[in-house]
Amino acid sequence: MNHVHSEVLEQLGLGILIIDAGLIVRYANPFIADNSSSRPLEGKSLFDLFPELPQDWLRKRVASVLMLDNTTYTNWHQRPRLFNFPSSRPVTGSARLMYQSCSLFKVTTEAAEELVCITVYDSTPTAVTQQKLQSSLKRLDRERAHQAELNRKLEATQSQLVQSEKLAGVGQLAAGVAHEINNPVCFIKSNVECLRDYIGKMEQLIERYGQLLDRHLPESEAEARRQLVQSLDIDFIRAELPEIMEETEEGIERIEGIVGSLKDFARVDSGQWQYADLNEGVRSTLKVVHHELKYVVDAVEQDLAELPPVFCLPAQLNQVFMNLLVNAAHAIERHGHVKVTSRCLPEQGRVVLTFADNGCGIEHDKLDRIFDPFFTTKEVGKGTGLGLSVSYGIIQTHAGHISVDSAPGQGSCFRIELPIEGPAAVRHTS
Amino acid sequence: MSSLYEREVLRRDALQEVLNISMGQAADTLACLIDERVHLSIPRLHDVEASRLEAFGSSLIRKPCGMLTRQSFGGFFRGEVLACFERGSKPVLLAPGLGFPVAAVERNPSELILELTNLLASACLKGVAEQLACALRFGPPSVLATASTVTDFLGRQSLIWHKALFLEISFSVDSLSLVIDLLICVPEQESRALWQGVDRMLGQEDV
Amino acid sequence: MQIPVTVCDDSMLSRKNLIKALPPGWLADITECKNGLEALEACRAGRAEVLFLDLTMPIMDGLEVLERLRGEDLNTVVIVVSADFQPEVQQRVQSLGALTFIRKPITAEQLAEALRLAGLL
Repeated sequence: MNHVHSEVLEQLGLGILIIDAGLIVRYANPFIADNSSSRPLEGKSLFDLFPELPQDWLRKRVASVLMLDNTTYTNWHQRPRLFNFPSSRPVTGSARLMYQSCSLFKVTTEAAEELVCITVYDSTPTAVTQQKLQSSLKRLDRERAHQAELNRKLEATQSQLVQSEKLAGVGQLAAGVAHEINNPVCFIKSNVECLRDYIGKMEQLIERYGQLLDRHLPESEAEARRQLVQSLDIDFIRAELPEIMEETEEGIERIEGIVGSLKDFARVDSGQWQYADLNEGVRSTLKVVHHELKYVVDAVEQDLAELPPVFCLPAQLNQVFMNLLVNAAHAIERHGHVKVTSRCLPEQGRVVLTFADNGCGIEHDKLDRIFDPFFTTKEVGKGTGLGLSVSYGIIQTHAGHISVDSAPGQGSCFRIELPIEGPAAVRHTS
Repeated sequence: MSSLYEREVLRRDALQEVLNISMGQAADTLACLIDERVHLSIPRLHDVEASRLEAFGSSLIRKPCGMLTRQSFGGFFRGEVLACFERGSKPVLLAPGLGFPVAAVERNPSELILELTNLLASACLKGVAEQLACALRFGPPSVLATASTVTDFLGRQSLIWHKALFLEISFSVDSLSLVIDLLICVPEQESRALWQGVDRMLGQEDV
Repeated sequence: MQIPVTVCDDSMLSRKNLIKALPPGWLADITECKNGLEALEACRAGRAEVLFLDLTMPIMDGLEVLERLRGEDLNTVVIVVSADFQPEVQQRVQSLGALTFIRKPITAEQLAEALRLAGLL
């Protein structure tokens, strides 16, 4: 069988190298020998034949294996190769040098000499496959992260779209309703004015009749008169009338206010586009709303940085400023603080304005509904719930962004971002 | 004739003593290479059921979490050695003694850890084989996980065995704050051969 | 005249092997212990003129027994019988006053040699 064993070693697809304790080669099978130019290898120093070998480390491994009579291993994963053998696939392969997994163990000759056998296994297929797998996994990971980002953007866009749709639907409704209500409101108002006038005249008459009756009515009729006045409760009616008229007129004013807001809401995209100084807009709006704010703040704190002229619909932006300032005032119960800031972000081509108060704040579950039309946190009868949704629509028209940061008891801060060059600039860059 | 229970106790005592002696040889191997005193644990035998790994986990003397390696053995009986190098320990301190360059080990300690696994596992099992007068052969070691406990790792696999014998042994080098925990794992169908070897050894001792 | 001998090892098999390997005809009154604490008690009770001592044991190991024995003036010859034979351990055992060290697995010859060294054979 010895001859057969030798044949096997010669044909083996595995490198077999036998060295002695002095690291001189005793035998090398063709797998090994074919990779060296100085043949035969027998009798030569291992490190002379293969200078790429890590000498100190290998000497230690040889000594260890001789002393302990065990096997020691190397793996391509930790140590890609011991020998710089060329790859067995020089045409179709992707690696130039062979990846190797090796082992060392003691063999004893018949003459009781202790030698070390080194086996060299070609791990290139495994190594290359593993590496391809790793890079595929990395690529998949990157794609997954990219997908997650796209999803996030999609969700954000979707919620904006929903908001816009709500606005569009309500806008049409609002326009129609406003128109319908406006007509009867007009003639109610003029009728009430009439009534006021007529009631005034009839009051004059009754007053005059009373004076005349006081002077000329015979005593026999006086009692009948008194009874009539009492049964008709005239004194009470005359006292009440002014108040009734006033309340009616107030009511009509309120209706007119609501119709006006509805019309504004529906008319959000009309007006003249132009460059304007937003800080000036803030200041003039502050003057207008002064009467609303003066009861709850000493003065509105202003921290306005220099802003470039912004391409916008100034009247509409002022409406937004007014809305936010009035909301801030209403959120403060007795006394508090309102602050307006403005900043320019030139690298992003935007300006940022914030409106902050230390009022009652907005509850977490209401935060994503505050821009909805007809949503209000105020009691029934106060506030129409249209202000913020109108403001949202106006900011949308400007291709800007409005958001709020708030917590109950801690106040709110509304933040508006607007592109300096207007919506057209944003569409070109996105 | 001693009862079945007494025979079982004797068998387990014998295997524990076989392990003790093997550990002594493995410790001497390491101690000579690194020139430091190596401490041996008292070996513990565990009968493990794959469906009740948590119970096994709590019965372990030490439950380290760290790099897990494995090495196969075969011949008279077959199994795998699982080794854990506890996180926080510094096997790099053994690098000079074993001829590994310190800088390379600090970058990636895997190769050193695999060689330590190989040294201890093969020395222990060779000792067992000698005492049971049988032959065992080994495969190359490999890394299983970089930060895990043995029970967590096994819990994540779909195991192909139901019952196995796990032999728990530990080596520590106090001066270097290093503990290496080994589990010699022999699945049930293979442990019969192991126990036969123990019985044969006891038979020769003529108890 | 029977010599009081204590064999201390947590392995029952190991104790039996040692007892069987004692020279035939060597008369001994044998006490078996399975940890260091029991061995100390046996020494103090005068049952250990010779103590065969394992090192790796639970509760109290062999090295601690040697340390404790050094403090007490007992007439005990300690022969360490252990699987742990690394150089540093052997040095430590000798420096703690053990007479000699026998490496496991033991042979009858080694045992006889140790007893001769102790002057008991």
